Order: sequence, then C-alpha cells, then structure tokens
Amino acid sequence: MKWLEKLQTIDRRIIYLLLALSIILPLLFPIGLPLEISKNTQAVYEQIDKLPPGSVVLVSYDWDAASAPELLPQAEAITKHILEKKLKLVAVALWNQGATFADRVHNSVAPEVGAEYGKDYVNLGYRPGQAVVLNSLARDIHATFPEDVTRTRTASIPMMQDIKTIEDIDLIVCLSAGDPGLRTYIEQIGAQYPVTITGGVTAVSVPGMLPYLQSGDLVGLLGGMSGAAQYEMLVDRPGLGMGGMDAQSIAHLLIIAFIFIGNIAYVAVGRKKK
Amino acid sequence: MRRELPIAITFVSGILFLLDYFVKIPYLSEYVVGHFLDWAIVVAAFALLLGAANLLRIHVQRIVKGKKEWWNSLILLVAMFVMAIVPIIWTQQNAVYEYLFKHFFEHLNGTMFSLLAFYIASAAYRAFRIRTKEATVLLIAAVVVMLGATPIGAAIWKGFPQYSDWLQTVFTTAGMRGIMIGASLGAMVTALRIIFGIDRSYFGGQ
Amino acid sequence: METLGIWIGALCTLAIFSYLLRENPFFRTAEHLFIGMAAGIGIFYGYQSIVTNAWNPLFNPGDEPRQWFMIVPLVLGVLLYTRFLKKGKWISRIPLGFMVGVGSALAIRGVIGASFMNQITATMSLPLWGVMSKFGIDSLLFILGVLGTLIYFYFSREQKGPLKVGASIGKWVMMIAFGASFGNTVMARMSLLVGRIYYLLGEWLAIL
Repeated sequence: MKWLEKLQTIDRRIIYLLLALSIILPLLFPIGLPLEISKNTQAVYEQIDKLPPGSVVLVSYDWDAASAPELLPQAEAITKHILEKKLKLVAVALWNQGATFADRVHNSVAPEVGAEYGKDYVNLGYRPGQAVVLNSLARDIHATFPEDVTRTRTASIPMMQDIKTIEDIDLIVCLSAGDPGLRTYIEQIGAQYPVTITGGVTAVSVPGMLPYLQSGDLVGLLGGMSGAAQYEMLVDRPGLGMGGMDAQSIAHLLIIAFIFIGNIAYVAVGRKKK
Repeated sequence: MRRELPIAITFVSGILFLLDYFVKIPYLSEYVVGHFLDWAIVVAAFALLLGAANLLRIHVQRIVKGKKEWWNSLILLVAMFVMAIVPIIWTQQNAVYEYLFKHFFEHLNGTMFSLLAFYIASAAYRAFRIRTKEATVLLIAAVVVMLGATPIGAAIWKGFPQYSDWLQTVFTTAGMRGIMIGASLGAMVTALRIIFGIDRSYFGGQ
Repeated sequence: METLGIWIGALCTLAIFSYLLRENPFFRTAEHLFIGMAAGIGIFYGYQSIVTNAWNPLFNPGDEPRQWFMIVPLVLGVLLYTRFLKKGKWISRIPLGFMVGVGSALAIRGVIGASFMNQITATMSLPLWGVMSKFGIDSLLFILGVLGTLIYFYFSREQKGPLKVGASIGKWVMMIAFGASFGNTVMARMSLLVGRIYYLLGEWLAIL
C-alpha cells in the first residue's frame, strides 16, 4: 500500500495542474450540459419583466474586478433585459470600481438594444460612505450625486428630471460582492421605504442572503456564475456565464474527488499505522 | 476637551440619527439629518484619501532610503499617480484610464483572488478530513450544493438540484437566520456602547 | 494597441499565477503595481466626490443656490489629516467622532428592521406544517432550526435538559449551513479561475 502513502503526500503542484486542466479541457471541448432555471433566478426575471415601460430601475454596482467573472455576466444580462423592456436605468456604485464596470456594461449592451445615454440610462458613479450614501440618495438623489460620471449636472440630464428621491424608483437591482452591497440596501432602504429589492451576488454571499429571501425583504436572487448563466439563457444573450458552466461543473467534480481521495488515503494509511 | 469633545460629537450625531429613525421631528429630520448625510459623504471621501497618504509616506521613505527592491515602491507610486491624475483631468471615461483599468488593473485584481481556487483545491485534498459525524454532515451538504448548482448535478441525478434547494431553503436559511439574529443583537449593543461613549477603542488605544 | 493590451493582461495574469510555484520578483512587482493602481483609483474617486459634493456646491454653484454649509465637511475632512501631526493628533478625532456616531446609528437603524425584527416575525408567521421546498415537515424543521441555533449561542445558563437538546439541533443545522457555505465558496472561487482561464484561452491565445 505504498502508493496510498504517496497519495497522501502528493505534491501540491500536481493538484494545481489537475485543477487547471479541469477548467481548460471543458472550455476547449464544451460538453453542452443543459441548464435549469432556478426559482430565485426566475423571480429576478419576473420582477423586471412585469414592470411597465418607463418604470425606473436603480442598478447598483457593488463589486470589483476580483468578482467580475460572476457579476459582469449578471450585469450584462440584466441590463439587456432592462433596456430591452424600455425601462429607465439609473446606475450607481458603492464600490469605486463599480462605476467603471457600469460604463463597460452600458457600452456593450446599449448599442444592441438602441438605448441612449441620458434618455434611457445614466451612470451616476461612485460615492463613498456606504450606508450614508443610501440614506442620502433615498432622500435626494440629485444632492447625493450632483454630477454623473461625465461631469454633467444630474439636474440637467433629461431622464433625471423626474427621478429625485427613492419614491421615483420602482425597483432596485443590487449586484454585490459583499459589504456594502445587497445587505446594505435591504437594511438601509428596504426596511424603511416601500421599494422592491432584488439582485445578484457572488456564490460565496448566497447563504448570507437566504434569510432575507425567506422573510420577503429580498425578492429573487442570482447566485454567482450559475445565476448569470441562467439569466443569460432567459434573455438569450450567451456570455461568460453560459460559456463557463461546463468548466465550473467539472471543477466541482474534481474538488469532490479530491476530498474523497484525500480521505481514502488518510483512512488507509491511518489503519496501517494502528 | 481632547477626550470629551470627540465623544460628545459621536453622541450628538448618533442620537440625532437614532431619533430620526423612531420619530420624525419636522425640522430635525428634514434639515439637520439631511445636511449631516451630505457632510458624511464628503468626510468619507477625505478618509478615502487618507489610505493613499499613508502609502505615499511609506513608499517615499523606502525609495529615499534605497531599501531592497526600492523600484517596486517607485512603480507603486507612479501607478498611483497615473491612475489618479488621468481621470481627475479627463473623467473616468477617458481612453487612457479605461485602457489601464481594462488591461492592467482588472487582470491583476482578478488573478490575485483567483489564486484562492488553487488553495481551496489543495485544502480540499489535504485538510478536509471526515473524522467526526459533524464533518460527515458538513461534507454531504457541501457535495449536494456543489452538484446541485451546476448542470452536471442534474445530469448525474435529477434529485441533486431539488435536494440542494431543500438543504438551502430549510437548513441553511434557518442556521443563517439564527446566526443573523444573534449577530444583529451584538451589532446593536456595540453601536450603542460607541454612541454612549462606553466603548472608545475606535479612537485608538484609549 | 488592443493586441498589446491583451498581451499586457496575459503577462499580468501569469505574473500573479507564478506565485503558485514560489514567491518571486515578478509577483512582487505585479503586486506593487496592483496596490498602486488601486490606491490611485481611490484617490480619484475621493477627489471627485469632494469636488462634486462639496467644492462645486460651495464655490461653483452654477444656477443653483450656493450651499454655504458645505464649508463644514471640507473643514472636518481636512482635520482628519491632523493625525499626521505630533501635537494636534487629537483634533482628527473630531471628524472621526462624527463619522463613527453617524455610522453607529445607521448600523442600528439598518439591523433593527431587516436583520432583526423582520427575521423574527418571518419565523413566527410560519405555519408549523407546510412545504417550503420539498416536504410538509419543512416548516417545522425550519422553526426548530432557527430556535436551535439561537439556543446554541445562549450561554447565560448551563446547557442541560431541553437546552441541551435545542443546542444539539442547532449544531446539526449549522453543520448543514456551513457545508452549504463551503460548497458556495468553492463555487465562487472556481468561477474566478474559470474567468481567468477563459481570458487566457479566449482573448490571449484566441483558441476558444
């Protein structure tokens, strides 16, 4: 049973290599596993889909480049849905890199659906202060964001004429990678104002959001890359989410295999020592 | 004065915002709280620059003293100034800023955190040992969730997504809710202690 | 220019990945570059927020009324920097006190509604028997799970009798919750790596 002992002290670089291969191979040779839409993804879709044209959706970009593989595809799919439905989109950010990602998403999606800056969507950018920013924007969006990212006065942007406080917002979609983020919106705005909150988070944040889903403080939730893939399918815009699902699947199988092999080796060697 | 003034300011601003939550007092809620919120955003913006000021101090010293690998400090400072000055002059929608963000920063930041994937794989192999009943339950829940969230789970057995949803809707939500209620109580007590000046640790060592 | 950018991105990615083999000069340089750029982005947004939210309303109000009060946060903000002085260090505690006061109060305001009261009422309003996901017993299991977790963290009395049973239920429910959290964490980390490899294969090597 010498090989079992060897298995227990395997070089970490072999583990790294296997992991890399488990992602590279399915990307090169896709299996095309069918996707199922979860009820939480469907709920997000329905919240946006049921809004009449002209309704205002606040999209919050509360993430950085480290979470982009999960939240960028979510943002693109949701933005396509919002702009295609002829809803007004107001983008803000509680994380400073979010403001740049909002530009990126708008630049890639707006031309596809023929949306126009200032008329259909606007990027108000980032403000520091976390919970302070949300309480402030709930009272007065123009005072919290006096200028947008192009340094145009918010008061002079056509679509912002009638969007001044939280009462003018019909739905909040928060895409968040931690705090400040979806929890901050639920706590600071959801509990004080009658506006529906939905959103998407990185997979690691999903368990922390589940109690809010059950209590109804949060309606619908996209979880990580698989949530993004499901939304991409719903709005028919394949991207990194759908493209990465096979690789994600195989990587999960590999991790499960690692846990089992590690334990088999441990048990076998342990018994022998006894 | 040195000790009392900051504590008094903490108390007044804290109590004001608490009052505003429970009872809306016409002038106070509309006017004073509104102004305080506007001010807090600006002070937070100054605080944001504080971190950069610290970095500047440390790395200028490293360069001046010619410490080991001082050129890295120089790279850091140059990167800092370029990323700050370019958008300050030409906004964040400027081509140079967007280029630097897209081709340098995004990859550095993204890759830094993706290293964790390798470590978690290594930890799964070496450290995830099923020694107790508790660990076995933890493992089963983890496996069902990992398979339930990706298409391969449903391809292996239709039950995986369903049981993953069941575990998360019933048990994870219940456990997280219990923890959340407890943590909320803790957060409220801590915040009250700060507002009433009982906890002053945030002033640094007093 | 775009091709050069993609090569730069790939080199940055590989420089950071090289840390997996061992700590090396390329990684250290990439790390410093990252920290510098992140700090630079912070400076820009800090500066931008000061200008748009305080400086312009005070000094360049345009058509809108001048907001004299905005002098207050500008002064408070500058006072934060007295922490670098030897003698006037304590002055920085004035703006700090303001921020901590507002922050603490907002923390209470936030937590008390959504994360505390709503969580309790949502649990209380559940029927004892009802399907939440799959089985009729879900609802009962859920309520026992919440109570058990709360009891587990109740340390004011020795845990024996009913308290011990409750704490034991809490322990098992939390094990499932932590297992699910581990599963979700694996998922998130793998997604980041998928994103990186997708870039290297798709944009850089263009073989996808």
